[in-house]
Amino acid sequence: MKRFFKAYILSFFYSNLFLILLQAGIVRRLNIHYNYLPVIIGAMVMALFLAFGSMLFKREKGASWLNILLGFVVILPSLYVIKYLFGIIIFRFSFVIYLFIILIAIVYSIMVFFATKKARAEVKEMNDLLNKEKNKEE
Amino acid sequence: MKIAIEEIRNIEETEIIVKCKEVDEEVKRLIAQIQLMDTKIIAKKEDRSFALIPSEIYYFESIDNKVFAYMLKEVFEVQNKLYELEEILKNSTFLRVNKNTILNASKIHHFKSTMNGRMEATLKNKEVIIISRTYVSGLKMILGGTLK
Repeated sequence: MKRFFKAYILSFFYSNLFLILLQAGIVRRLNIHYNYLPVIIGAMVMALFLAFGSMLFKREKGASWLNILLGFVVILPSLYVIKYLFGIIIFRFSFVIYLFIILIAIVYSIMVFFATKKARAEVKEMNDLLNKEKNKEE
Repeated sequence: MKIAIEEIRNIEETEIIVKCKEVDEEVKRLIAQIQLMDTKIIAKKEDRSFALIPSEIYYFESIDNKVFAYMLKEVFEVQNKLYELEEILKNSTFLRVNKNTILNASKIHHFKSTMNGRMEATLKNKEVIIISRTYVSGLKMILGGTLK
């Protein structure tokens, strides 16, 4: 629960930032007034999906590729929050939702890449330490 | 490291004196290893009690409020809780690596990572143990690395 709460706080920060920037862009370009409260509530709901996705991604049980896939699938409904908040202004054309899916997939892939890279570097360091210990023993 | 053995016939108990510049991590581990030789873990198997030598144990795992000690081929049920074992085996090569497991670092064959950044340790008996990120720094310390 503690881990989920931590992930939720972080997800809320980023989703709030993203939605505020999106809202600011719309206000600036189209001069449409938005209430801030629905955006915050939207960010809270979005953060739930993101935190849950992150928990699935980091899950220690099960096949890692399945956890990665599940993490991606779980964060996709957050698109509906954006659609509900900004509706036709952003999703005027049906292909926009696919563009968003591609955008999320790209960001997610980058995160997976960096997580893998960091873990590999750590594993290499640990294996080096282990080999050093073995050499000492020999 | 120099090792000197002095045989004294009329001595009552074997005494080990460690001469060092300062008591660093290596010396502490050496002392812990010596102390560990005297430590025995009491475990049960098929209603028979056994005194296990810690250095022969691969890992301890807690399953449904029961703690098991895994040796090369055998599994024993231990009466102690995981936190008690942690206390008994502190400063040794044993370390908590996830919520349910205390691992003997000297039994690790190699480490590997998975696609989602999960770390796994393959033991010398080919078993795979998942290592939580929380305990990686402690494991590095045991392996002689420094904390980052």
